[in-house]
Amino acid sequence: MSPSAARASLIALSFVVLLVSGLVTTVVWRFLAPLDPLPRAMLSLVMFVAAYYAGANLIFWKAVLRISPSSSLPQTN
Amino acid sequence: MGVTGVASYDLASLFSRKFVALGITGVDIHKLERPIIPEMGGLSVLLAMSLGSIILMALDGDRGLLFLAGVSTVSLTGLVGVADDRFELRQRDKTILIAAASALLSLSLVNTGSVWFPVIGLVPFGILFPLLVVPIAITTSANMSNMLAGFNGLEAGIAAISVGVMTFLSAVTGSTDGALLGALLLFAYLGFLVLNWYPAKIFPGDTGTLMFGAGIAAIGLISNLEIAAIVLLMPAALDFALKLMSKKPFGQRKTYGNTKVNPDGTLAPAGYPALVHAFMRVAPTKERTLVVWVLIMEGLYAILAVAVTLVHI
Repeated sequence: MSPSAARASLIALSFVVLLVSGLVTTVVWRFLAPLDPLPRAMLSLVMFVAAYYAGANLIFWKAVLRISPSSSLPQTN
Repeated sequence: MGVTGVASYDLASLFSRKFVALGITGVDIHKLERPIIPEMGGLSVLLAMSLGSIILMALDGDRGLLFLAGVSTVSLTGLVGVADDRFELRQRDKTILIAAASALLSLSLVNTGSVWFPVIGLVPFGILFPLLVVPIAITTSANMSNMLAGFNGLEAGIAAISVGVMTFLSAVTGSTDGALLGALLLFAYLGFLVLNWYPAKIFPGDTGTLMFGAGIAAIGLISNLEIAAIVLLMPAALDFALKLMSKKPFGQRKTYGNTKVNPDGTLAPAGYPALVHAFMRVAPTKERTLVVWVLIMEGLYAILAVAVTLVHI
């Protein structure tokens, strides 16, 4: 992969993490339909933050380690 | 606005000479020759924005509490940055002080109770809006912006793009207070960026980084553009999420050391997850290339912020 393609793929991956987090939030929002608007929204937003954190770890950083040619560098501790 | 830009450039130029004599300096660790560079250049942005807002309020009698609250939040956050640059505040103290800096903004937004989110729609926060949403938004945005930093032109470049977009969207949606606050900040950061771009003649310090994060959130809250502000902060949020993976999220540099420079000028990342380290890992990257790519990323999120807002209104 060329350097520019590798860097562009990182940016694309960041949008994938955002998209997946948005989808998780949508599912949770629909699942919580019986709740009042404020707790329903608060729980959905908390789920967005949790999904984004998980996506950053499991999608973005894992992909970085896979793309990275510098395998000798230290990985996530 | 031009006065703000010129004042910011002139002040940054003055500080770049005076701060060396005063010992307010840092080492540019991403250069092989490791030059000594004046720090705390964000003070020029703070002073220029304050000057511009005083002139604006003197000339324009229509500016009221909301504009003043925005300026005070950004200025006080800048002062917290000055204190942090000089005395290295603890993370907890910094968070509390920045939340306190947003008090006037909370007071002026006491009648604003709801925020629009995609999919979810309008969320009625009620009294939680001034009590919790405003201080959390300001302090989170400021601290996240402070973490995605440390390379020539990066912070001021991100500030120019994100504040520029918030200014444009405020103008489009008819929020004069938000647009004017944004324009003052935008020109102040553009004036500073001339001297901060690679190879930097002055660093922004925490003064410069905390202030634009607070500025984005303040404009978002004033102009009801919270979702645009959130989208613009996504690169910083990603960096923050990556750093949370390590054992000491706010002390990685002490534990893992700094980014190193290879003999060919490319950067070797420190051993903890971070957005800039991701760019360094996937391809050999010099400092200027790194900054350009992070700014491209910020530009793409800026397009998304504009699209989401324009679809909503």
